[in-house]
Amino acid sequence: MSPFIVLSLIAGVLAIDDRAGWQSLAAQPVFAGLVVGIVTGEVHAALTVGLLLEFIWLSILPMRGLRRPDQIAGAIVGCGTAGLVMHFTGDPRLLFIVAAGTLAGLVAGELAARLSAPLFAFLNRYLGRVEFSPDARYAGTTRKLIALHAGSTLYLFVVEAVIVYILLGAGYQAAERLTRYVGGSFVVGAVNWEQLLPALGAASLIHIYWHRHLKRVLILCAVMVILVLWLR
Amino acid sequence: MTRRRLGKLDLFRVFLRVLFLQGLLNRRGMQNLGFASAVAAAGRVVDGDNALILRHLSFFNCNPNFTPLIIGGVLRLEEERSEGKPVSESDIDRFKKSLSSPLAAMGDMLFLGGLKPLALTFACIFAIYKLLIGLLAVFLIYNLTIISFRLWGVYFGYAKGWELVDVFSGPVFQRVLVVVQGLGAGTGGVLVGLVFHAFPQHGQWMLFFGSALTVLTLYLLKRDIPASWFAIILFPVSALFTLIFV
Repeated sequence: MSPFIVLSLIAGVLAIDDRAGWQSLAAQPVFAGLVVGIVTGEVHAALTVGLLLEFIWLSILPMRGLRRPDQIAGAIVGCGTAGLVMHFTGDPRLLFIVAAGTLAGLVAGELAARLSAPLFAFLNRYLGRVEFSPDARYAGTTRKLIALHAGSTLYLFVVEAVIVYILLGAGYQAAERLTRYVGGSFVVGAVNWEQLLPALGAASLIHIYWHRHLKRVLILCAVMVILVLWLR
Repeated sequence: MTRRRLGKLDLFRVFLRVLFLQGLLNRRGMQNLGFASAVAAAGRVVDGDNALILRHLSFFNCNPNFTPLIIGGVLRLEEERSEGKPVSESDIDRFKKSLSSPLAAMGDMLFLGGLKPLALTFACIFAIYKLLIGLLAVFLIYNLTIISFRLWGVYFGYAKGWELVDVFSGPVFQRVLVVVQGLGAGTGGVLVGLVFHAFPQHGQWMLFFGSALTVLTLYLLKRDIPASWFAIILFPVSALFTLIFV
């Protein structure tokens, strides 16, 4: 089976876990990156993209009331793009391909959130309008609830899988062309960008824990780690 | 006819529905359909009347990890009501409403603000060192915690019934929260240290740019501007900067 289809199906399963299930963390980029890496056979590249996306999206963990990027689509497209480009082109510039994959993931996350918003709003409206007859039998109402549950889960799966299939194809094409045509300073700039991205994760962690007694623990641990690694 | 009481297997069926509670989330009733679906899994034993499900279709919202406690408690009260004890429908409704808001806040603080960032920080540290076994361990421990908490919630809620209201008013939750958040801050500090230690390895000027970027991102986050857009904009800026200055 084509890796594009396999990755899209994985995205559908992760959407069920994230939106209908108990949110097992499998949909988080760092874990999705590992899964994508195993599928594409490029664990190192996919996991690095997953890690960078996780660093960036740590910032949205405590935020409320904003339109969040679709992390599942972003993670699968980003990690998948890097893994598939590495796999099919055999390009040795790992850091540049990781940068291209990360950018593809970030853009895909934002695009997917906008594409899926009306589709999920439709499901939301439908579920909000469902009527249950008081004259129905107990078994009938239970069956209706189970059918709604199954239908809603299937809908989540299909929407995410289709969106990821489209965006993964586009992301792969764009990244493949980028690696073919650009070089020199652009590559250096992209690699520098990628190496600076963990700063966003550090800022997010400081933002999450910067209150009361917690900031002392955070600073103390950070300084200790830097000292130990520096002395070593 | 005397009805049998809810058994462990009945509550386990409720737990299975509780795992997929969010699947029927909607803006109008929030978790109402998921709640009714979970109650329906054991409702036949308790009452067997369609009205039981319909009563639980009213608006309900709570943290999904704490909802099983309320579902367990509601099943206990419904059982007592069907046995003829002095529990009215409005009592059960009041029980749901009085618990949902405080437990939602507690759940968000413990799981979204405590355990999730903690697990993700550990995962990032293991991913930096490519320790796949560590990643797997974080995944398993996190899921074991969440699933066992939901399973415990159904049984504990059912065992306590009305007493559930008193259980969470003690200091135990605050202590657990302090420990989880302290651990999270410590692990977060370790990750921040690792990030800042790695910057000079790519060149001394990276430490300067990394620090400046951290401060700038913090400024944006304080204004609720997510880092994802900032990261996208930074890509052409970085390419252009390198093109001009390097």
